[in-house]
Amino acid sequence: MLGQRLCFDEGAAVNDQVAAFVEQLVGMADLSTGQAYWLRLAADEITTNILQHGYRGGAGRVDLYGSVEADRVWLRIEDEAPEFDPRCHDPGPHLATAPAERPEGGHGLLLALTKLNDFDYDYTDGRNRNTLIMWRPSPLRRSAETENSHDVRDACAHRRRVR
Amino acid sequence: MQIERQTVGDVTVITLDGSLDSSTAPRARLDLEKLVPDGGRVLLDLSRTSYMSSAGLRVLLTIYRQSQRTGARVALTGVPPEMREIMAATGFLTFFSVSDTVQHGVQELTA
Repeated sequence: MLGQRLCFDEGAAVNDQVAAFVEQLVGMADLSTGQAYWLRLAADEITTNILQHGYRGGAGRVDLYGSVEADRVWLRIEDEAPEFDPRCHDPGPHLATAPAERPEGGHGLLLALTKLNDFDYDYTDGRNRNTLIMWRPSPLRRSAETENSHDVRDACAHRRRVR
Repeated sequence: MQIERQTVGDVTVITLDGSLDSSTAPRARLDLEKLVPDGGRVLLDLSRTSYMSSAGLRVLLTIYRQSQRTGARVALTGVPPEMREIMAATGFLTFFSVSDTVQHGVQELTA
């Protein structure tokens, strides 16, 4: 398992460090170019959201963990910001607004969750734990991917946004 | 991120080379705001853009709004497949005409 603790000061650049971590995992997992892109995008958007909204642009700590298993690669992002389940972000009102009239932000979590094969969230011991999952390419896995395709935001129907 | 500008006929072709994320987007936004001429025709070439996050979408939205204010025409070319998916999922493809090559983009903007 890979692990990396990233401590960000106010205004620090997060993207390159997250990209480098994802690249390590992708190299071990034999993911397709597209899967690698979507995993990086999800990790980037969630980490950026934690720093900008969870820690409100100030200093904060984000821990990245990842592992490659026989059928999947997972990447976990943990932080100590206030509890927030990304699945609770409802992009509906945003997308219902004409693009030219929308607020500039608000697309990040939509992009983060849309292309992952699976996503899990829990809040334990004062820590948000976001787990991003991509299935490794294989004929059996591709079949299962089709059957199990779902919108990860569905899991949030009963949850309350707290941030 | 490197931004290159060239002129092809009456069209300003701006190439975005590198990663457009929350670290690079603020500078890219400032540079692009200066490079898009009022009332001009601009082709944004994304063929060398290796990565775009939602921060990049915000840059595109800014340029779109600037073009609406100033009467500029802005189109995109060389949009990589993942970025095209991102733009489709968020409705951004309705902002711009998109061509596969610089040549076609220039032709469409000058037609």
